[in-house]
Amino acid sequence: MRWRPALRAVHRDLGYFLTVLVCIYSISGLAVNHIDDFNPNYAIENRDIDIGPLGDGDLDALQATVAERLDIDPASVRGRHLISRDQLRIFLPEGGEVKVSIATGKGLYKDVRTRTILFEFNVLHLNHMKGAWTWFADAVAILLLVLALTGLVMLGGRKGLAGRGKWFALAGLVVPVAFVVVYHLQH
Amino acid sequence: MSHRKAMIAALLSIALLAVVACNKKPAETTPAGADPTEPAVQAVQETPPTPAADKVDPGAAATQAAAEPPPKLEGKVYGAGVQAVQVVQIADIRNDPDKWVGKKVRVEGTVVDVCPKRGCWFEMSGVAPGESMRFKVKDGVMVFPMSARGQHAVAEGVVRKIPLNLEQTIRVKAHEAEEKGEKFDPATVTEAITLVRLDGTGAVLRDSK
Repeated sequence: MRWRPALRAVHRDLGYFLTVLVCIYSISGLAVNHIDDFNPNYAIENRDIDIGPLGDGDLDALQATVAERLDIDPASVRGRHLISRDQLRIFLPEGGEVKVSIATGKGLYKDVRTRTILFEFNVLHLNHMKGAWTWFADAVAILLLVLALTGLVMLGGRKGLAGRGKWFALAGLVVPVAFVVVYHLQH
Repeated sequence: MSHRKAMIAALLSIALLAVVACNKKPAETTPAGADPTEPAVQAVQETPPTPAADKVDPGAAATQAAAEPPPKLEGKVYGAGVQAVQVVQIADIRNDPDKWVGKKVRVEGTVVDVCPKRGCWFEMSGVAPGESMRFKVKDGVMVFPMSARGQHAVAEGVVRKIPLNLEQTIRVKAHEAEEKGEKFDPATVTEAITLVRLDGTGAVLRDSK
């Protein structure tokens, strides 16, 4: 049996199938690798506000005043929280908020925007959905293994694993092994 | 069947599995009956203060939880959902955490903060101004979206008390400020704090109480 052509065909077609998934996992991986410096799910912008003293009134009235002075649609306000006798927060869609002093009207407007596409990539990569997606992601992981292993042996000769391929494969092995050694030396 | 046909059949099967998987109702669902047209502003309701007579005994709470079937709550379910019946006020835990440490309780409140990067915790407000409690899970076990702020949470977990020294307190506050993208001055922290939180097992979040 000519097994190498068969492996090449498997490798090629798996490659087509996995292209989008590899892109999703790679892009999300880049984003969450730098989570200490960058919020991969939300763009958060804080700005100082000064809307003047809110005056007297119950929480409904105070909330309405804040919304009116900041030109916020009252129907979009999701709730409120009295942090202290003077500090009021009202919650906006997508996780935004206004935190304001009742006495002075000074405070912070936090605008939160979900990062389109990247948020969805992270949901898939980090398996937020659980359930059926877990099974599909497991299948993808196995297919990636098949892709890697068929890639190793699908070519023979000078350009195959027995030829120059072994040096590339070795380089790919040395880097993670070196980092693991360093890790254990440090811990 | 030729190799190519077999390959195409395998890939189509996987694609079909993907479609079925994506259409399958996930564990975290909003059951029918939840009224999406209900005004969002009703998300916050001022719960009346707990009368002294309603004070909950930890042992009794556990017993009652075991005896009665879990109530079915509307809302988006996270983790194991809620199982216990007895609700404990955040103030009760705050006022005497030692009484509750290690016990599984159910608390309710408005979600006032969510971990902005990993979604691994949320803060629930109590009745009194400034009163709150954190619901914490391991990264990835449950993931709470920022949009949960303002929603009503019914949450269960085990009460945990973590005393911090001043250095640890500063680190925790600095980390929280960094997560929220807020400025932080270590000099503003002059006293060590003790964290009292729920190590979460499940929660139900919904727009109205």
